[in-house]
Amino acid sequence: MGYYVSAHAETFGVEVTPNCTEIMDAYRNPLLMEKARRNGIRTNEYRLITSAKSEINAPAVLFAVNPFTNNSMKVVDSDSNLPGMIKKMSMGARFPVSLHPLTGEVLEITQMFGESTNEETSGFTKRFYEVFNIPICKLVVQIDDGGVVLNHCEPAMKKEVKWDIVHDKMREIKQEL
Amino acid sequence: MKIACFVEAYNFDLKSEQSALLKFKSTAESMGHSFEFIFKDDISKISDYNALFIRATTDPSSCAYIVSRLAEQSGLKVIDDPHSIRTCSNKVILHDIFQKNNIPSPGSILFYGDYSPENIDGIFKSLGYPVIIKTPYTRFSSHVEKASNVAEFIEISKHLLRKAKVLVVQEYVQSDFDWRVGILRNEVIYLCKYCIPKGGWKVKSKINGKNVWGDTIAVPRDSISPELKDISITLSKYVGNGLYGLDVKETNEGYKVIEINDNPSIYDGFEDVIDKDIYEKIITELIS
Ligand SMILES: Nc1ncnc2c1ncn2[C@@H]1O[C@H](COP(=O)(O)OP(=O)(O)O)[C@@H](O)[C@H]1O
Repeated sequence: MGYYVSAHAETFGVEVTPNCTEIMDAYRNPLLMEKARRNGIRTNEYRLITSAKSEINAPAVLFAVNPFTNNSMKVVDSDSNLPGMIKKMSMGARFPVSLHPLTGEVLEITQMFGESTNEETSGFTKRFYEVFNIPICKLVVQIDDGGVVLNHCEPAMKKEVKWDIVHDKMREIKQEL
Repeated sequence: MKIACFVEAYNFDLKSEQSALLKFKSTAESMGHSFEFIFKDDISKISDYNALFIRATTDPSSCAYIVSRLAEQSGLKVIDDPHSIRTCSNKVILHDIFQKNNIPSPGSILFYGDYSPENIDGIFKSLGYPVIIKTPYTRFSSHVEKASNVAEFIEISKHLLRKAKVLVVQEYVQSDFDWRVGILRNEVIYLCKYCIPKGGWKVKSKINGKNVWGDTIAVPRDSISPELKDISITLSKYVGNGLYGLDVKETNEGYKVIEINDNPSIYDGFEDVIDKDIYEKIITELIS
């Protein structure tokens, strides 16, 4: 429903954040990657595929690129499991799958107005919020020697959100207004 | 210039569509440009091109949207651009645009599932009988239904609300055909009548359990009535300056716009029968 609220407001000339383009840019994996790259947020070299190819190797992290999916991440450890998983996630080559190399420790975190559910990544979520303008979302990242790498963003489920952090943030924002 | 044409395998199923795609290609090449068909697996290479023309079905959840937005970000000229895709493929957004800008269109109400007698009464009082019910995202008339009475309305809307959180309910406007006005950069580039098959009420109707398409009759674009032209161009400007197909009904009370589509069908031997320069005009726009 958030998307409709933004769409409706935009049609009537009201400035909304996030706007429809921002919502779509965050929740479709290739668009997320492009925007991150353009804004200096570290990403992996991702690939879009609809079937397994010889030059593609495990270990890899896969995301379905169909609309507004939750929990679409799959980690594949062995080459022999790749074709089957790609077939399943692409729904028989109907949608592309975004494939990222596994290079570090995979973490799922929730980003709330720039704050993170995981302290180690709070600098990263702050930057993410500045660039993407999405108030609350779930992020999949990898931690390697160079720091945090962005892999994916999707809507957060209620239970994944720390509501005390959200309420504190809302209070701060109200005071600033 | 290098033009990419994003298609999917089904775009080559119908001979008339395949032939139109090949006409786009030969037109571009005769004008000195390259024109390559690209598919889902080629999306990441989009920045190698100067322009993108999308012929695969577009909606914000499609691959077409992704390639459109990636191309826009890489600075390509894009038809259909992401904003047009988002706007045209959503009937709730169109409802808003029509209302805000006083576009003549069928009476229309958003329905969120409030089945209280007052609300249902109000809908039929303001729209009359029958009503048309649509989900926000429809394509080729799927999820566009007619309800003749309250019982039918409840049954159909309950069914559609399983697929959508909001429905558009409209006054039913009877007609034998829909005007299809083809617009590029806010100019009319072709005009057709999409006829409604006998025994149906949609251009693509189910008659005796079979899908039947009405005939397409091309009409010279210059013969468009000033009023229809004015409405079409005014509306297209509110959406953008891309390639659009408007569906408009002609009634005793004047024209009523049903919708504006991005990604309008262009099939060889149909839309292009009279104004044959559609291909050239679109290629020219892509390379401009
Ligand atoms: N309010 C209406 N009254 C009568 N016919 C309608 C109405 N709205 C849509 N239709 C018909 O239903 C068909 C599909 O409707 P449309 O809104 O264009 O959906 P789609 O985007 O799926 O083509 C068209 O043939 C159109 O003429």
